[in-house]
Amino acid sequence: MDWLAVTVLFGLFFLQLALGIPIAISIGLSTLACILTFLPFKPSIILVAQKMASGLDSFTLLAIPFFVLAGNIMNTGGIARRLINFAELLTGRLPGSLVHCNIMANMLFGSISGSAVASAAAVGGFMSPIQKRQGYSPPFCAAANIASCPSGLLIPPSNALIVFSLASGGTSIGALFLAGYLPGILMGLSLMLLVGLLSLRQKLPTSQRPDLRQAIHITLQAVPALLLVIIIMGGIISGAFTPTEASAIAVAYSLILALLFYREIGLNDLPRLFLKSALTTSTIMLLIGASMGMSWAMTYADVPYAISDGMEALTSNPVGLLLLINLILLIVGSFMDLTPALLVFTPIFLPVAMTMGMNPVHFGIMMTFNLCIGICTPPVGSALFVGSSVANVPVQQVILTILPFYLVLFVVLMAVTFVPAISLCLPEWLL
Amino acid sequence: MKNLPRQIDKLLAGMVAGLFFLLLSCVLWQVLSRYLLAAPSTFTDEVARLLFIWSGLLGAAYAAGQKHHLCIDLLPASLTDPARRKLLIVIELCCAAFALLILVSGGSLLLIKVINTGQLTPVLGVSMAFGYAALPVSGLFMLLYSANSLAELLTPSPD
Repeated sequence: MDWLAVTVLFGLFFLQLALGIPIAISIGLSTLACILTFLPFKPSIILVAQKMASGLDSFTLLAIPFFVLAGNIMNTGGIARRLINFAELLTGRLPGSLVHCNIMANMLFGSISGSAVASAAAVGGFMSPIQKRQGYSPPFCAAANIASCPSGLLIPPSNALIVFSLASGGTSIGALFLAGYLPGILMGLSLMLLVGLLSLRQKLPTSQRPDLRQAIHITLQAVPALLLVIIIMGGIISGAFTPTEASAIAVAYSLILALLFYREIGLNDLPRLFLKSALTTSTIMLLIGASMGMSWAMTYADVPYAISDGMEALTSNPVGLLLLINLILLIVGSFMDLTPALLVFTPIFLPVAMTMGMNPVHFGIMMTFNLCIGICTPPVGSALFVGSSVANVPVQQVILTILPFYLVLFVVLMAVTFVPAISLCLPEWLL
Repeated sequence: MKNLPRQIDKLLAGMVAGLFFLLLSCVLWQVLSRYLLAAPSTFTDEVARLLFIWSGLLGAAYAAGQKHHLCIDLLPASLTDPARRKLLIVIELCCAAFALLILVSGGSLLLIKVINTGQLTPVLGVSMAFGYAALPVSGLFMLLYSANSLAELLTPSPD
C-alpha cells in the first residue's frame, strides 16, 4: 500500500469534513491531493475531471432524478394524506393506533417518495397535531416517526439502492429492489411491536372503527398511489423496462395522478417542482462524480486490499468481521449522510465481504440498513432534527425517548446481517 | 453588480429546470417509441446522457450558490463570530479551489484533449466535448458564487 497517498487522502478528507467543508468538495480536493503524490499536476487535474465526467455519463444514474421528481410530485399532490388515511384504516384497532398509523404511513409513503426526511416531515407534520390532541406524548410520537422513516429507503423504489448499485460496480438494481422489501417491512413491523408493548403500558387509545363505506372510500383513494409501486416493480421484475425507464414512467404516472385525478397541483407548479428535484439530484450527482475519482485513487493505492488484510489479521472469524464492519458503519453513519457514506465506503468494504463469500446484494442491503440508523442518531442525523422540529419537541427530549427504538433497529440490523435469506429469498424466488 | 448573484440564480434555475424537462421528455420518448411505435429510438439514450451531465453539473453550481451541498456543520455552528467568519472564509476558499482546479482547469484541459483525439459518441457521432464542456462552465458559475460569498465575508459587518 502507498502510505503517503493514503495518509494524504484520508487525512485531508476527514480534516475537511470536520471543518464543515461540503462533502463533495472534500472528496474532490483530497482525491486531487492524493493523486498529486504520484502524478504530475496537469495529468492529475485532467484525471479527476475525467473521472467526474465519466461518472455522471450513465443511463442508470438517470433513475435518481426521476424518482426524486416523482416523490416531490406525490409529496405536494396530496398523496401523503391519502396514504395516512389508508394506514389508519389498517392499524386503527391496535393500541396506540395513531403511532402505528404513523409508522405504516412512513413505510408506504417513504417507498413512494424515496426520501426518509421528506417522509418524516410529511407524515410527522400531519400526524403530530392529531396525536397531541388525542393525548399522545409528543416525544414518543416523534421518536416513532423518526425511527421508522428510513424504512422507505429499503422498500423499493429506492435511490439509496441505486447509489449502492453504482458504487459496487453494477449490482443488479432489480435484485437490490426486491431484496429491500423484507428488511424494510421487518424494520417497520418490529418498531410497531415495540410501540404496541409501550402503548399497552401507557394505556393509549385505539381509533374508532370506520364504517364499511368509509373504509371503501379511503381504500379507493389510496389505490392509485399504491398502484404506482406495482407498475414500477412489475415492469422492472418482468424486464419490460429498465429502472431508468421505470423512473420516467413513475414521473408521468404521478403527474397524471396529481394533475388530473387528485387535482392538488396545477401546471404552473411544475417549474418549481422540477427545480427542487434538480437541486436535490445535483447534490447527489456532484458527490457521485467526485467519489468516482476517490475510488480510483483508493484502488490505485491498494486501500481495499490493505483494509481487508488488516481486518483479517484482526479476526478471521466471519461473524467477527461482519460485526466489525457494522460497528465502523454505525460510527460513519452517525456523522455522514447515507449517499456519501455509500459512495465512499462501498468500494472499501465490499471486497472484504466478497472474499468471505457474501452476496453483494445482501451486503448492499446490510450496509444501507446500517447507514439508515445513522439518519436517526445524533450528532448529525437529518431525520432526527427534521422529525423533532415538525413535532415541536426539543431534540434532547426525543433522544431520551428514542433509545429503545435504536435498540430495536439494531436487533433487526443483526438479523439482516446474519440471516441472508431475509434479503435474498425474494430476488432468488422472483428473478 | 449587487444584483449579479440574483441574476445568475435566475439564469441557472431556468436552465436547470428546462434541461430537466427535456431529459424527462427524452426518456419517456424512449419508452413510448419502443412500446407504441415498435421502433426503438437509439439516439435518446445518448441525448439523455448528454443532457444529464449538463443538468447535473449546472444544478451543482446552482446548489453551491444556494449553499445546498451536504456538509457536517457541527464546527461552524458551534463557533461565534470572529472565529466563525474565518472558518467560513476557509470553507469558501476550498470551494473556490475545487471549482478552479478540478472543474475549470481540469475540465478545460480534458476538453482540449477530447477535441484533439476526436472522441465521438457511438450513435450520434458528435464530439464528447459537448458533454465535457459542462465541467468548466459549471466551474465558472461556482467561482462566481464563491467570489461573491468571499466579498460578503470580507466586508466588515456594520455592528
